[in-house]
Amino acid sequence: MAIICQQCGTENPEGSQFCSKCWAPLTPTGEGPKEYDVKLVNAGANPQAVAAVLRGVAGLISDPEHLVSLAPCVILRSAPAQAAQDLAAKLEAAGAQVELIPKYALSAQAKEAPKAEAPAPQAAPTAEGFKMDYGKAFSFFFEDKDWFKKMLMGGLFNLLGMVIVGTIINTGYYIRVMRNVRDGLEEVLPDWENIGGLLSDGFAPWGINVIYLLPYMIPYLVSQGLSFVGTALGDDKGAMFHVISLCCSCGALAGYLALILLPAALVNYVRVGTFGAAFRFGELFQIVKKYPGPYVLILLVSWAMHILGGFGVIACCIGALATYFWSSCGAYHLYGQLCRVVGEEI
Amino acid sequence: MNPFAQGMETFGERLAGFLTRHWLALANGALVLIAGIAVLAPYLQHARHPLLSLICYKAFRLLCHQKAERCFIVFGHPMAVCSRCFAVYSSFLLIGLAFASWQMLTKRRWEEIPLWVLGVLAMPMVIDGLTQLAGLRESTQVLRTITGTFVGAGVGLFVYPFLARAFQEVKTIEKRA
Repeated sequence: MAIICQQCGTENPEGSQFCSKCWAPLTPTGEGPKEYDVKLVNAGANPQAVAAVLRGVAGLISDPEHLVSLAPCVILRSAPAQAAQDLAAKLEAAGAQVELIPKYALSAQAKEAPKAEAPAPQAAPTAEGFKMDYGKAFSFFFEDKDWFKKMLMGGLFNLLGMVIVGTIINTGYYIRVMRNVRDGLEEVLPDWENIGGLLSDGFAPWGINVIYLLPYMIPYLVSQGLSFVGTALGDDKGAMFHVISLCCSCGALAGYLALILLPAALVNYVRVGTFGAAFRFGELFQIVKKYPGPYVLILLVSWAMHILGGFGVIACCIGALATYFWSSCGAYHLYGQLCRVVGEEI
Repeated sequence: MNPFAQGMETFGERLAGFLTRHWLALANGALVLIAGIAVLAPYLQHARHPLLSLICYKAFRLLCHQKAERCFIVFGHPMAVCSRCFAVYSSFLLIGLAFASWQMLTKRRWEEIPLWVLGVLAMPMVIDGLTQLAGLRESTQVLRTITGTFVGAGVGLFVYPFLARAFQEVKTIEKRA
């Protein structure tokens, strides 16, 4: 009788002590899996009670209210068997329908699932087989039946960005795109309902974006100020101001490098769910070091998307606001893909 | 999937594939362009194309002080960047070209230098630049060039092997998939 590896799900010949694929030690047949993914199939009649049970559970892949609204979805990945069973019991007591998926069987189950049952969340990829779908980041937006309406709304809020609030709302929208990709949902683009919810979702990631921009913005503004003073003082007295202004410009250029870490910061924020997670630099560098290839390509492709989004300027200039919304959604789609893997591996 | 979405998906995949395969050529091309424009500016001035020359000089205005006494003089006119900046760009480019040759000639891996080594290589430029800024001493063209070369080479020796490893990983995943 074949022995299934608890680590990767590979079938090994009877008598094997180690997995032929991942070299993990094999446990004798009959022992249950050590880890489970917990899937919330249905929140039942009282979603608030289910969300209350979920509140405070460590390692959830998103915030409780969001998860309840997403059901059916996997809410906890790779939970130890005892913890998963305890959580399932509590959720069932609160009226929810829960399914425990043995860790190794997840991918097999996803393959066997009937196609008509969509939109069930997809299985999270493992680091070994982690392949980014860059093309999807370009196309997913246009697969939505209301994409044009949603893009115009995004453009409108980009216009409102002049009074900041529009930018925060759009950032909330991008974060929801990222979460939906991370959770493997088929409908990735959220509806433009509950603007208040988008605003509240957007505050923290907007703050993260602003803080990561500061190392660039502060030296840049100081440089501009000094340059202005130097020009006003004239050639002799202003020379020193110009030199220091140039040093600040170089500082701004160095500060721009901080933006390289921004995707990792957003991924960690969505993964952990706390504002501080975006500034745990050890974890951020771990993400970059563990996935250098996808990370570099995510940066390059998202920059390329923003350049492409800039071409919207040919639609009476204002068109760029809408196309820039598309390119931002695409960039966050890529971050969401990375988040799916990082959620399990770091 | 509608044809437009399909087209966008194909475009995205091809763009990612292009960047993965040709990143080194793109990086070297960008550096050739930067170093080339720095030399082109005095040449265009020499060839009596003042407007084009001015555009080239303006392109570097935010990145370099462009003080004539600290620039190499080419074709009778100062280059668009100071000798230190030019040394940074050209040494970065030379490491890029050397790295491309290494990749073509051998399959062996070129390890990146540790970050602290990059810090050590940057120190002479920091000391030279700061002591000059503070008015303690005046640097020379030779010192500016040498310290700039250390930094450009250091960045190249750190960045290129890192990127090569990164893109190799992407290629491996693509093949496995």
